[in-house]
Amino acid sequence: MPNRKQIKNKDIAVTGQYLGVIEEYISNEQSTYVKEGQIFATKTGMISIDDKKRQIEIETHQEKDRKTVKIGDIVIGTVVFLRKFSIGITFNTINQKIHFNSSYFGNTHVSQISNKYIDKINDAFQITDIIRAKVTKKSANEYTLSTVGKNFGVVHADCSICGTELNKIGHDKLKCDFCGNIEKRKLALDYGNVAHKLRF
Amino acid sequence: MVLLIKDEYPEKLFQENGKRLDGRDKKELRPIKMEVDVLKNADGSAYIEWGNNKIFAAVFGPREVHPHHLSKPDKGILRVFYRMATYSVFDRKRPAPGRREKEISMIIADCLEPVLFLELYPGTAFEIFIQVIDADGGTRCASTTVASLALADAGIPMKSLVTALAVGKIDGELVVDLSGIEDKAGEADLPIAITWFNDEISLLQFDGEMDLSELDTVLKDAKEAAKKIYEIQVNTLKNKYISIQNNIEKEKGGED
Repeated sequence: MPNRKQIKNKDIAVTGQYLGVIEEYISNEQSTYVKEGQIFATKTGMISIDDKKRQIEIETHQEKDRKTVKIGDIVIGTVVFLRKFSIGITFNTINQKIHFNSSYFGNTHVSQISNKYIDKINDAFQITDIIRAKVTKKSANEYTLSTVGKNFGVVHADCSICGTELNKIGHDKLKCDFCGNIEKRKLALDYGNVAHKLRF
Repeated sequence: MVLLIKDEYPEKLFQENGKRLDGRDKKELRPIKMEVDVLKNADGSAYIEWGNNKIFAAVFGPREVHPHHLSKPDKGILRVFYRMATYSVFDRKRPAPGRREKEISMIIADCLEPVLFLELYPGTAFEIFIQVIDADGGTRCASTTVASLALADAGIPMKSLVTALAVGKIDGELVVDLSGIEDKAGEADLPIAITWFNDEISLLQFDGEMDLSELDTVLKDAKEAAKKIYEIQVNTLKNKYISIQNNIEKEKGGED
């Protein structure tokens, strides 16, 4: 029973309200849905129309309580798989809040690890490393992540021989104080200074 | 002394002037009052007063599934917990969830599922807790209405709101919105839930006897009455956002 009324920017839209046709606007997947060429609201909130891009979306007051992943988010996760050309990561934080046993999963391809050349994946990450990454794409139920950039990469790592925490000794080198083992990683700038205690 | 009260219903369900026992016309609804954002700790919540029914609904989610083996890798799950308070009905209701409550929980989940985008949230659970404080006929319909309002308040993407109400037949007359006595003493009782994104019926239960031609007319009446309830739902949600907008403008004015 949509009410076909002309909408304006900053109007209040209610769940299920008719917003326009697909020739008028590009719909936002998070807060609108398209049925037979017509756009409807899926959330209650303020309408925001980008006149240049012709994009329409609905702003809600719940944005700070969001518990789902959006493209462009920065997440912290644990490396659980090392493959020949990619790694698998389970997310530990979503929207800057800790999630335990979260069901979200992401992959990073070798080409998306760093700007520099990486010969083997083992030179950049190891299993059980905790890394910070950016969400770039969603494919099926899994997300594609990228660690290109100074702020992205390993924020916590354990020695692969004895399991004690590693200390930073160079821009891409870590040393174990207990057994003297030296390892190579793609490090974030704030390695070892992350406030969240993610492992327990 | 044991107080025994027999289940006695009045012989006639209509007054002499043609109105119902509570003074309503045949197609008149009971007074409805709704509120959203009433519970602090829930992600979204709503409250409804529908005649003598008083119902709270709280929504949590999307969140982890416990026990974990119930989670589905390709979509989220919706769980509804419909419970009645011990003092909500005339005889004390035993607090443990019974057969009736489990069934009503299931049908509410079934009729809300088509409007949700569960495939966007794999491995998670949406949980709706419905607490009936006071019951007087048509609690499953009122619960569905208030649950959809709480889902919208929680900011969960939905295709549209869901509205439910009961229609039926008492003393040979077709009426809308049955109260407790009419439900028990009447001839037929027909709870309906309507999803507005395609005007389809997502719940239809039937109890009693009715002609097919009567069924057609009563379904039309139900849709008209549901539109009135839908407007109350929409206005409740809108009023909340108008107050949020006013607060933001006040804060901005104070800074300048």
